[in-house]
Amino acid sequence: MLDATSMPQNVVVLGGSSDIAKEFIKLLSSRRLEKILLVGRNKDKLDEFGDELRNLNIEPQIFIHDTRNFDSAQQLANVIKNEFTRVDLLLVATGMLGNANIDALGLNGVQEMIEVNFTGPAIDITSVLPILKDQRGSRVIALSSVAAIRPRKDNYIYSAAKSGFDNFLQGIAKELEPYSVETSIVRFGFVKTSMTTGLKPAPFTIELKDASQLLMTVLEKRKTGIIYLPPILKYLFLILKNLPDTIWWKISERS
Amino acid sequence: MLGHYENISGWGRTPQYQSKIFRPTSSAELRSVVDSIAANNENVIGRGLGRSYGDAAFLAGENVIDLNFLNRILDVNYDSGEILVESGVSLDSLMRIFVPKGYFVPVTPGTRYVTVGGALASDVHGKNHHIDGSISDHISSFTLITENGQTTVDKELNQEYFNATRGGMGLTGIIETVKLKLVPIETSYVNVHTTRVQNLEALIKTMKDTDDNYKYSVAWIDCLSKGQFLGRSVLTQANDALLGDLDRSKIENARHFNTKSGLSIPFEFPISPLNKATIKAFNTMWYFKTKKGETDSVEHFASFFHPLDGIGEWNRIYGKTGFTQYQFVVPDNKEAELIEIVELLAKKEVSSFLAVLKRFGPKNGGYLSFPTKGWTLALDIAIQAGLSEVLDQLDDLVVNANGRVYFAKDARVSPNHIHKMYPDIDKWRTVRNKLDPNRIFTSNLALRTKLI
Ligand SMILES: Cc1cc2nc3c(=O)[nH]c(=O)nc-3n(C[C@H](O)[C@H](O)[C@H](O)COP(=O)(O)OP(=O)(O)OC[C@H]3O[C@@H](n4cnc5c(N)ncnc54)[C@H](O)[C@@H]3O)c2cc1C
Repeated sequence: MLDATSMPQNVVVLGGSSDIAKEFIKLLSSRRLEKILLVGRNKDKLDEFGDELRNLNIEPQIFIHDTRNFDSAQQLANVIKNEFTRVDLLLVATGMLGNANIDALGLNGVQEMIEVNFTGPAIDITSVLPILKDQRGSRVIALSSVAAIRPRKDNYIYSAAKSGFDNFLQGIAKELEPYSVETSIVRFGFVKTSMTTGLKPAPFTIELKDASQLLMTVLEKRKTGIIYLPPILKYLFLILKNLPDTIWWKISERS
Repeated sequence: MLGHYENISGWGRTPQYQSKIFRPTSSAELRSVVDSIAANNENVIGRGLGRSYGDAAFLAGENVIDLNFLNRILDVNYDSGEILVESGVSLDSLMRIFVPKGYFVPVTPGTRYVTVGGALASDVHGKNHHIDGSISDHISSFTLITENGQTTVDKELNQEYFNATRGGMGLTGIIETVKLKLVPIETSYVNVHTTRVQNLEALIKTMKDTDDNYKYSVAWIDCLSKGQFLGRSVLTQANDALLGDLDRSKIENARHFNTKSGLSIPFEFPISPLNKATIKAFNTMWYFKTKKGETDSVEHFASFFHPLDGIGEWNRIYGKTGFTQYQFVVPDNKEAELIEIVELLAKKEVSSFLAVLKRFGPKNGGYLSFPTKGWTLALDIAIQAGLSEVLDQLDDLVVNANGRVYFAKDARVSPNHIHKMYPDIDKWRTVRNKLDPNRIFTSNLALRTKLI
């Protein structure tokens, strides 16, 4: 159950070995977290994190599922039903950054980028949707990105996928609203993670610790809808979004 | 009969869920609802006026039975003051009916908009606990609906069932009727003795020295003041006023209880006007508006016992995120710990309107009844970032002081802490399982704290 301060007891994480998810879950574990289902494709990483949680007296379950795999996506709902009486928080952190050079990516690379950041998690969420509706009250926090707002030359495939996913999430939020499920779509700016090593940090870059602390506030203060983290980005992107194309492409190339 | 999903929460408006709500209109219908829920292996919890702050009176995604239809007064004995009422009758109705006839409820919480059933299920206390105990101490028997039909539970003959149900948060079944003893009164007024006290230490001493002289006693504390003013407060102590205490303007209508409900908060505030600055200002103003030293006055029951009932739905002021009430009790010899807790609250500045401090008398036999001899402090706190962590620290202090938190107010204490706070949980479970062997009665509270 969620408590008065929205602290969850049972959590399902899609993208269970994402750095941001892991950091956030560690914060939750010092509050009410009891049971968690980690969903992801990398068994070693999930096992390692599972052990870490077990040491904190949390009961982890692991479901190996590549978000690109349609068959295991269909099983996801059953796995959750078998493991949990309720899901208090669904955290969606599935995603990948990567080479943005379309020639280097090739057909497979482009397909993977789009599936892992958009169609995969969208289908996973769809699979879990009936459970969320049935429960009549819970929270969804899904990680989107400011990249969803406008494409840059060096990230437009990622940006396109995230923008599709972000729009999908906005619809899901409306879909779930009548069932007392509150959805937060978190458009993160640049967070320093293992995914971003080697990339040039953008303005308002934040550390993992800050990112998870900000997510905690989203939960505690029941912030729903589209949320920018850090919040200042909301105003920055209000401006960037409305820049004429020529100017946008020029400055986005330079940053 | 069909139930419908509706948004539901406690008085603190968080957490919020949806439950399928049934509104039967007769006892027969009530029983058939319980029967069909049991037959389908579903779960259910009863609900009165929803004045419990947290998650006691609903069950996410499942069934809730609204018991307000049980609103009849079945029998009255004007010699003994004993009445037999259905459990959905509110204390407000009892006061409107019986105060003019010379009887008052033996115990009233800080709001009279609670049902008799809800009051028994939480075993509520009032400003007179140090003298009169809690509500169940004035109840001799009640009837309970379980999946096995209706049982009468008598305080003497069915002690176990009685003790499991008083304070049992609706988890032993639905209380249908209650036999309650009212107390005779001459007027609907109290003689109030008010003392302004500079800090918590002085308050503790004054209460210890003088509480026994008064039937009612409670102190309002400013939990935001610090240093030598830590816990500055206004102590109000009172006894029932007799006819001779009233001046001529009041004496003609000495037992009136036709208080009107005044303004009402028509909508949820989009942004709560309550913040550190406004609350600090309010608390300071309120302290200084009380005359220095001691004063005496005559006050009507309604303003003395239920100061907030004049404003309808005041809980909406806290906005969308809602609020929680933290109420705990620590034993008599734990004054140092009490001070430590108030210090922590002042230091963390979790804004709170005046907190209420009072002394409890001895505990009764209820396995989960909250009151135990000692000091109880209650404060409303707006949900805010970092609150969970601060309140967890308070829980630690309370547990270490052998204290406990009140189920009727709680929506956040961890199962681990709850089980330390209530050592009779196992005993309670054994008895509960006799009354409800298939465990159909359950609530968010019960699931969250692993009570069942
Ligand atoms: C402003 C305010 C001041 C308060 N002051 C005090 C105080 O001074 N002292 C104090 O002790 N409490 C106080 N309370 C708490 C309140 O008295 C209790 O929460 C009380 O239980 C509320 O009664 P209700 O009818 O609203 O019950 P609900 O909130 O509807 O239900 C409370 C519990 O009772 C159970 N229940 C209700 N009816 C029945 C029934 N017929 N059969 C079985 N179970 C039932 C429910 O399942 C639930 O577990 C205060 C609350 C408010 C809002």
